[in-house]
Amino acid sequence: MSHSRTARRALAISLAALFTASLAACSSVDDTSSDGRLEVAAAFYPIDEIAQRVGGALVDVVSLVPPGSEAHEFEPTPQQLADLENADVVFYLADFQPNLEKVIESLPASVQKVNLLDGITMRQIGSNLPGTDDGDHEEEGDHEEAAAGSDDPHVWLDPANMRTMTATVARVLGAASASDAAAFEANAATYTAELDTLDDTFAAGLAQCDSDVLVTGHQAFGYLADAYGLTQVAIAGISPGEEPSAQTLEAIAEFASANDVTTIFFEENLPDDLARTLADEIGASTAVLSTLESLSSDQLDDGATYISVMEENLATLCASLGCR
Amino acid sequence: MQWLLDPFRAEFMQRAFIAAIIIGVVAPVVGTWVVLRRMANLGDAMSHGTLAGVGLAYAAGVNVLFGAMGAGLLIAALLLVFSSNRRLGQETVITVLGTAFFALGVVVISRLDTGVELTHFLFGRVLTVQWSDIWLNLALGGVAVLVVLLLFGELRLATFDHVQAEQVGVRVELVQAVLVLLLAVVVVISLRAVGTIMAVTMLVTPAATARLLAHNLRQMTVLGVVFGVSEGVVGLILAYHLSSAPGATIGLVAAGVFAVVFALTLPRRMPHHHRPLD
Repeated sequence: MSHSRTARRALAISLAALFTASLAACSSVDDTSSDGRLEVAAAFYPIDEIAQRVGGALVDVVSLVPPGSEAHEFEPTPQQLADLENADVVFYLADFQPNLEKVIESLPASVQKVNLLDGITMRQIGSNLPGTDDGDHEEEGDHEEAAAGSDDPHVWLDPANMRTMTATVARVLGAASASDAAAFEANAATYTAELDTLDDTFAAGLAQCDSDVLVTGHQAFGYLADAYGLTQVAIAGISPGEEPSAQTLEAIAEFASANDVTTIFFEENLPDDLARTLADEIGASTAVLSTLESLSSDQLDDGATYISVMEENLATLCASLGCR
Repeated sequence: MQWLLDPFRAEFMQRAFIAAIIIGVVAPVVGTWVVLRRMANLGDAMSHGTLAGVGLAYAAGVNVLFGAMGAGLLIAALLLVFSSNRRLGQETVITVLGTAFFALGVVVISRLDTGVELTHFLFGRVLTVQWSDIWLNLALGGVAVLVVLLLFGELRLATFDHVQAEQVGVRVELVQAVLVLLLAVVVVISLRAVGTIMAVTMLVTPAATARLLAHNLRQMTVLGVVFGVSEGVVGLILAYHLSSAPGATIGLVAAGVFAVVFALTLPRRMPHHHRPLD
């Protein structure tokens, strides 16, 4: 039975490849799919939402990371591979999802590959703890050494970067389907206005707080912290898989105590045990922040969006940091 | 001196040391019998097999220690059933069961949509030990040590003198079953701190080191505990300063002590006479 399934899958993949090849060979001008709509693949949730909002009913958006899954380590299924090969445009962020990027690189020339980091000012991954990079740092292990100084991929957690990406998506889709360009621009303007409002709400909400220190599970909130004048200190490194050493955890606990931190934040979809250890150590509580790398099925069913989840994040931050 | 005390500053490190000390006591007490009865491969199978319970418990949102205990009980029961087949050797049945449960654990954990990783359980996360884990480990470990002390005579007969054991009514297979359960307990109390792989190290290596030096069972048990506790504490202090994986560092210290003791006792063992215990 599994044998016949493998055979069917192999057949499906070869047919898909054949189809793509014939499409690429005989229709280099018309690069839309059979129903006439642009086929757009989005690497993970926030990009997905931008593509849906800008494209509206005029494009068919294929989401890749399943609801509730972790986006860093995502690997496409064979079915998604076929979808990707049939897509007109793929939107992704370079150096964030290594497994997916390998697949994107190998896609045929008929698929336009758009790295949405273009036009975004990248922030560098700093040392984990402000002021300790000279002394303790050399003992903190290879991961952090390698990570410090390279680009932080979590750009979407600053609404300003979402605006930049929205503009890029509108431009690319408009170029791919010139007759719909005006509609894409109009959609983008509507979404950008919502992002502006979100940006203003964040700036106002976080303007006056008792604490400006954000202790998080991993280094995902650097852009958000930079945008609104907060200082991020992360338990683990830039990727959630990394483990801190005992000394790192101790140094973070001391820093957090010295800065009167009352809440340790951890991310949805990740184990909270290290955050709890740290919270116990300094007598703080814990709270959940969403990295928005993916929304759960429940959230999607409830109609959650980038903007609504960011608003939840803001409410959590305001309550925990003592904002007025 | 400061170098020795630094690791004990933070409360989470104090919990880590307590966890290591509990393992250092319980594992060699049970491990003495594992070494003497040549059951080390059963410890290995048990440590891998409990992963199935860990994965299922995580999926169900239950404390993973209960899941590991459940899997341990099931493996012990199945072992009793399959061992009645005389055509297959005990070690074959043990391997089939251990790898099957391990495979189930890997499948379950790989299907979980969370950041939980296999390595967390294989090598432990000593920084995440909670007080509730310590209390549970103390209770389980205390019972395990008590059982070994109460059954000391039975264990001795079942291990060294089958004939007399049967004459005085000691059921060898029942003693074996109890030991299998105790093995599961050791794996469970090691899970969070040093992980399942290092549980086997703590079970076998300190007891094996003690076997090289001891003249009788009591000595072997006490020496095993001395080795187990000191290796656990020294390993954690080293891991703290080297920022190395704690479970593996403890394992290396234990292996190093074994190597040194083996080398020092080599001359005594050269004239090929085998020293029986007691």
